[in-house]
Amino acid sequence: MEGVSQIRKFRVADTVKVIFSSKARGSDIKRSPMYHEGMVGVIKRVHGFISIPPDHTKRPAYYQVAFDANQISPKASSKEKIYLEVFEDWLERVPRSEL
Amino acid sequence: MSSENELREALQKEYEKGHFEHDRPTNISAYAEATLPDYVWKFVTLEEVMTGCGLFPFELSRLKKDEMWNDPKNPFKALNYFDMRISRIREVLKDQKIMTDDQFRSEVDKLKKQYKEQGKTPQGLELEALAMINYITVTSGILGTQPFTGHYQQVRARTPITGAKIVAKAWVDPDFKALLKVSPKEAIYGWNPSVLHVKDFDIIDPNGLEVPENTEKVRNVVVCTVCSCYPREFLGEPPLWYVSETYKKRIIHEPRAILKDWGLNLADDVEIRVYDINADIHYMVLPMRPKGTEGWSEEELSKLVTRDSLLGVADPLTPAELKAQEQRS
Repeated sequence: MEGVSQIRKFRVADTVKVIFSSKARGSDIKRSPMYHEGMVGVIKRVHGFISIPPDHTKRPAYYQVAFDANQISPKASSKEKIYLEVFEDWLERVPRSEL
Repeated sequence: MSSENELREALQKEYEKGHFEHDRPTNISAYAEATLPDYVWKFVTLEEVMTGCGLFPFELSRLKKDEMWNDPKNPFKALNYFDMRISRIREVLKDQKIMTDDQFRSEVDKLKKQYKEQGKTPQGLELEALAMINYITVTSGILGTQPFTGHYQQVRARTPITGAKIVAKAWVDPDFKALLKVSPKEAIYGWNPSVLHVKDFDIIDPNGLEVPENTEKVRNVVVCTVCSCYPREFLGEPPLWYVSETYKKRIIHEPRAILKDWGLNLADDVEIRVYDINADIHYMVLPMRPKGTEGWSEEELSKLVTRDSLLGVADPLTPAELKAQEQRS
């Protein structure tokens, strides 16, 4: 089917880095927070392929990703997490060797 | 001045405007009566019907909010949350050439006259909201009154009582709870299809839903830092603390501290998961069943669930707290 990406890249427990956010694109996309670009997290849930967002031409795979809050709040403990939904094309895999 | 004081002060101003009821924790039955002025419910209906019917994408409204928020000359920031929504939709309708300034003024003037004749005083941006509703549904007939009145009933019916009933059901029915955790919408549809408003015309976006469960060692909290996404189908319209900049900032940067300030003291070894939600997937928290409620019926249990416990910033009431609240009222 045209416009449908059939294969998803990541699975639950994969470590990923956010490589793109609203901030990178300016103010024309408001579907994600402004702080998560560059953060490293772990895929917790796969939501499947969602309907096409305004800034996409294909249906992206959609993931729930958990981040340690101390990446943006230095005082946060490892027991504080931020959970976000992120499109697949805004994520890249972090190889185990870099962890 | 601490940010907590700032929030309290901001909320106090909102109280004075008479728009919201904030007391925490509140016995869920308080929501059986509408908690907002009628024009707000009508305006929420208009917003959802217009964007649901594709008159303009909801995204435009959010972008307009940012534009108005960032313009230092615009008095927008001083408005309360719902009046902000009203004034930004007004601008979107103008930009999209759906309603011109002249058409808007003419509707407002008509309403002013009516209110004067009836000796009524409008609240906030009540006349502006009603002017847009009248124009879109009657004067121009762009949408007609039928989808509006139909959807209005649904909007009015959305209260945290629904969320509380879902939680009470999960507390007594392990099969329901198991399904709720993996496939929440299916679980809720199977329990009570009317909650999801699945009708012949599909106005509500097909949002996803997640219902993370609190345990002794994991606590879940919901926020939307980008705008004001909120599990409206199950909780109604958001409280003002939820849409305040203070909450959005503090719950991300210092969740344990803000929860403590609000009366929820969590030990350091309890993991806090803050869900920064968006329009596609909504979240509602499944709180822990309070102790001392063995043998309680679903209906009794649902009274212990508060709106704030469904968002994760508070615990449900204890049986003693419920009793005290019931005695007071």
